[in-house]
Parts: sequence; C-alpha cells; structure tokens
Amino acid sequence: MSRGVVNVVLYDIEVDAASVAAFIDDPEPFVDGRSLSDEERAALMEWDVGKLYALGAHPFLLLQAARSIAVHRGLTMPEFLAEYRTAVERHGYPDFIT
Amino acid sequence: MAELAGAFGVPHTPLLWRLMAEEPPPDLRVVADEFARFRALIEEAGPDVIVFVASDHFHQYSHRNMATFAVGKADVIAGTYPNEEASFGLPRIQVPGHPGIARAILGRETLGGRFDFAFSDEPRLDHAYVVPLLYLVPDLSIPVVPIHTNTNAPPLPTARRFTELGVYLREAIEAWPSSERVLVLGTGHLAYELGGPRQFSGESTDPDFDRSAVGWIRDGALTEAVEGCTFDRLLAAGNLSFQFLNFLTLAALSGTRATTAEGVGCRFGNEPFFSWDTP
Repeated sequence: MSRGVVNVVLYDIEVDAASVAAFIDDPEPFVDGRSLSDEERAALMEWDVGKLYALGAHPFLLLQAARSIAVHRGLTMPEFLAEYRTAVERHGYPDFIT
Repeated sequence: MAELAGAFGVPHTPLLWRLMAEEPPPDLRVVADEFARFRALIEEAGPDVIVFVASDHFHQYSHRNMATFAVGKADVIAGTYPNEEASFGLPRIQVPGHPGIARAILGRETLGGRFDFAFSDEPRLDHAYVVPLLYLVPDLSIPVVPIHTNTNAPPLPTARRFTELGVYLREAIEAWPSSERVLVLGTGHLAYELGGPRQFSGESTDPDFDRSAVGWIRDGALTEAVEGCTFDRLLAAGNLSFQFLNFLTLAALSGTRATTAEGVGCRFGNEPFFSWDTP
C-alpha cells in the first residue's frame, strides 16, 4: 500500500505552474524511483483521475492536482468540475487512509 | 500573567477571496458581513498577539512529514504558496510572529506540558491562516503564533485530544508571565467535502451534522461533541469535516457557551462563525 506516496506525488505535481507543465510534458521523473504499486504508477503516468481516486488518493490533493492540470490544458471550471465528477462518482468513497 | 482577549472561529474557504473581492454575490453577503462584524469585535478586543489554531493543507505538513500538533515560532512569518496564488488569487503576505508566547506554549529547553508539539522555526501559512487574517486583521499588524493541527491526513487525533489542546492552551497562555492580551483564533469547516462526488453541490453535505455541531458550540456541550465527532461520523458528513475539530479546541479553551454560534448558509454549505467572550 503506497497511497501516501501517491499523495506526495500529487503535491509535487501542483507545487507551481512550472511543475504542472513539467508533469504534463513528461510524468516519468515524478514517479521514477518511488515506492509505488504498478497500478498507482500507471494511473499517475496516464493521469487517470478516476483510477487514482478509486485507489485511495487523498481527495483534496487529487482535486488540487487535477484542477491545476485542467487549467493548464485550458478547461473552464465548469468543464473541469463536470469531468472530475464523472471520473470519481462511480467509485463512491474509497478508503484513503494511508 | 497574560490575559485572554476572546476566542473566534471562522471559515477559510479560499474561493471566497475572488468571489468577495468587490460587491459579494447575494448568497455570500452574510459571510462578508460576519467577517466584518468579527473584524470589529477583534479590533475592539485589542489583542497584542493572536494564537491561531488551523490545519495546514499539505503545504508545510504533508504525507512526506506530518505533524499532529505543531507550533510555529518565528519573528516574521510568510503566507501563501504559489499553487494558492494561482488557484485562488491569494496575495503573498507577511505577518509578525511571536516567539515568546510560542515558546511558552511549546516549551524552551524541554517540551512544556501535556503536549509533545512538533515545531517549525520557519512556519509558512497557507490559505487556512491567510484567508481569515486578510478578513479579520487586514493590516496584518498583530503578531501570530500558528498552531497546526492535523485534521486532514489520518491517523488524526481524537476529538477528545482537541478539547485537551484547548484546555492546555488556556493554561499555557494564562501562565505566560506577560501583560499582553492574547486572542485565540480558530478555523475549520462544518460538514464539507472536496474531491469527492458531493463537492460544490451548492448546499451542505450534511445539514443534520451542521445543526448538531452548531448546537454543541452554542451550548458548550463538549461531552456530546466528543461523542458525536467520531472519525466515521465526521467522514460521513464530508471528507473535510474533520476540520470542525479545531472549533472544539476553542470551545474547550473558552469553557463556556458561545456568544455567536452559526452556520451561515451559502454556495459552500454552512460556513461556521463562532465567538466566545472568555471570562
């Protein structure tokens, strides 16, 4: 179980505009050498918000990172929130205890 | 001995900052008015220093290193982070700190009392502190001692521990050999969710919890509050509802009924406003 490490990566992604851009350009350095499961690593590399939520990423950190990435990609807030909701709601409330 | 100059609990929802930058929209009018009323009450109380109980949101204390309770002691304390400037439009701020009373709470050579606090000599305030300070002390002139509590990353301290923190803070403040007046500020949420399916639904995620919670604070009903604030009950109310626990610290510190106890309904659910006249 390495949800806590996923949470650290989520924060590293959205530290500032440069980190968001760097992650979108190449996510590999954000996960490289970290103690993550194959599933977690793949979900981060593919930026699969629903999967990360289902795996127990902290909802606050996931929202913040997802919003920063969506803004960088030019989505409006309503577009982002609709997309986020679709990604997470079928998963209900997964355990996020690390 | 130092004197308590009152205790106040407020919201810190960072999206308020842009929304209330000019004339607030109708649903936020009461939130803006309550901040203004509390600002006047605090000015009237005339504190020399503010002890501020809040929860850092993974900026200074994260899954990399999490402190359960931590005291910030520094002469000058900076506020906000680049991601919050971008997301919420918060300005970078700087406030004076107060290492004297920080050490009175924390301990100097050895930890002072019943709390083995962590500490930071370079605390940096995130929106949980910055938003209330911008509304309540807009000239940022009053020294601040930030007390971080972990209400975000389980394992969390129990509700009872938050009440014990309040009792301890009062003892430490009153034992501090100083003539300064100390105001205690706290911030958190009632029922609240972010990052889950119920976020930004335009109403409270759990009105029943909000009614109970406001009642506990109004009545100073700490036993009921501790019984009612189990991990599972708070989680059911919404995944950020744990931040309500910070208000139990203020209620226990005050040891009395609140003068103001309300959840102000708006697009973010019920925003908490609590005040206590500390005898």
